[in-house]
Amino acid sequence: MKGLLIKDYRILTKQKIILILIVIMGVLLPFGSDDGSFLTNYAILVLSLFSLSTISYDEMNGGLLFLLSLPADRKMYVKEKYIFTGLNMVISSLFSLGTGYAAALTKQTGEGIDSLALGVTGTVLVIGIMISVAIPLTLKFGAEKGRMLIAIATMGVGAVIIIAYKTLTDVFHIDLVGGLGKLLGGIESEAAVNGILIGGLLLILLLVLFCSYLISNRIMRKKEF
Amino acid sequence: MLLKLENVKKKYGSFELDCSMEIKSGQVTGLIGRNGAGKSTTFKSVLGLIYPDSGDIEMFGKKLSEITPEDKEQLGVVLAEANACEMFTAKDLLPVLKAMYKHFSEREYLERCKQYDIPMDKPLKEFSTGMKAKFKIIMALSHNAKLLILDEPTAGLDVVMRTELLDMLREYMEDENNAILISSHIATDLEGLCDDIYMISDGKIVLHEETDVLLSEYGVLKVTEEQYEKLDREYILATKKEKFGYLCLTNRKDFYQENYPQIAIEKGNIDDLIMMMGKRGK
Repeated sequence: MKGLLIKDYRILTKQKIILILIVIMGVLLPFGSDDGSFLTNYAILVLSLFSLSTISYDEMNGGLLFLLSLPADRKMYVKEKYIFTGLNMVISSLFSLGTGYAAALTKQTGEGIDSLALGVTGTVLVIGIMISVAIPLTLKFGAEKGRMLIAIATMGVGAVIIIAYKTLTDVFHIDLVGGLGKLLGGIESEAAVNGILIGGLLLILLLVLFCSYLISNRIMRKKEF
Repeated sequence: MLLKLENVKKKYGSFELDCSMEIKSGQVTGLIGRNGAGKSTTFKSVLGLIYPDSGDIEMFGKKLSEITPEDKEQLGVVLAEANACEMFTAKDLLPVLKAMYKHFSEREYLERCKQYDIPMDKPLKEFSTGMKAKFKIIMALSHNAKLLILDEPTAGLDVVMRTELLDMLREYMEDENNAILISSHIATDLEGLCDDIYMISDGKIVLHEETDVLLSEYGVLKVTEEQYEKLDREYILATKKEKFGYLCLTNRKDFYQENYPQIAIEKGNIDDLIMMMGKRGK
């Protein structure tokens, strides 16, 4: 496992342009824009999606055959991809949070670390869902064929979430936001509310990633080389 | 017994692998056969890269399904179609291999790279075919593996590089607990290295023989049609029609030398086996 992680981080360090972009964009965007938009968390997007690039590097030129002939099996390979993704999410989230907070302090926006963390967690959740769809598809169809399917599937998942939300609110008249507001309404501290929301989002993220991991494992188990 | 395959079957369309073989400690076992005969399918089955339809594979006394990554540390593998990421240098791969294998010897790895002129800072994509082949063997040899599985390790190499590579393997076999399963298209490589040879044709093992026996007792008879009609064919393994008559492969060269002194008999070798017992022989 450790060897596979070292291998993936070596691939990452070979992509100097990506690392430079992450640092430049990661610093420029929070300082350059006034809102905590999705793009300010550029580092999370690029670093988290990098695990997909490592799969395509592994596929190239019989790389996966080489890796599986080392002391690694299919299960370990899949597990490593999710751990690599998770580590990158944590590192990039902390980086985004750091640069975002530094920007907030410099510009004196008064935005608290908890509110920034909620924004970062939201971004991580969206990207986490994208990754959860993309990893099994890339493992199943390969990086080349998988690319189009990932775009379609990600849009599909987004559409399902929106339709499910609309159905619950419009058809069944369940006010999710209102309900959540009522549930958290009793809590006076905004930081505590943000903390609960972050915890909830992270829980959803872990659940989604775990389901994706199980699917990826199944795909790899059936794969023949 | 380090490796045992028992009636391992795998079907791909009209091709079916049906293979049984044993690899013992202290032995170098060769697997020969024409392209598409089933050598790579056998190797992939052994490495769990494909799933056989039936049959049993045992490695290090365990069923293949029970083999763990820790068990695989005793294995050194070179597959013709498997390559490390080509962006990497030998230096990049050092920490990867070190983390993968408990018994990885950094000293041996660095010494061998130096000995065989492997540049440490050059990406693998810039390596020549020979350098790539040597480097693959160096990676497989640097962690005290008990069993080497080598699929066409000498493919595309000139005679000097092949000799260097075979020397590495001979050095590895100085430890009597080690074993090698190797396939190669180059018969002379196997003749000088292997203790026993399995011949695979159309997915089936058609012959298993000790190399010494093969080289001393096998032979090819060149006979006219008339001689062929009168020939006692009890020890003829395969026959091939030629313009002048027939080529007959025998495992009892001495029998024909004694009883048919007028027949031209050539010493047997692995190339003859492949030619005569491969798909187009018989």
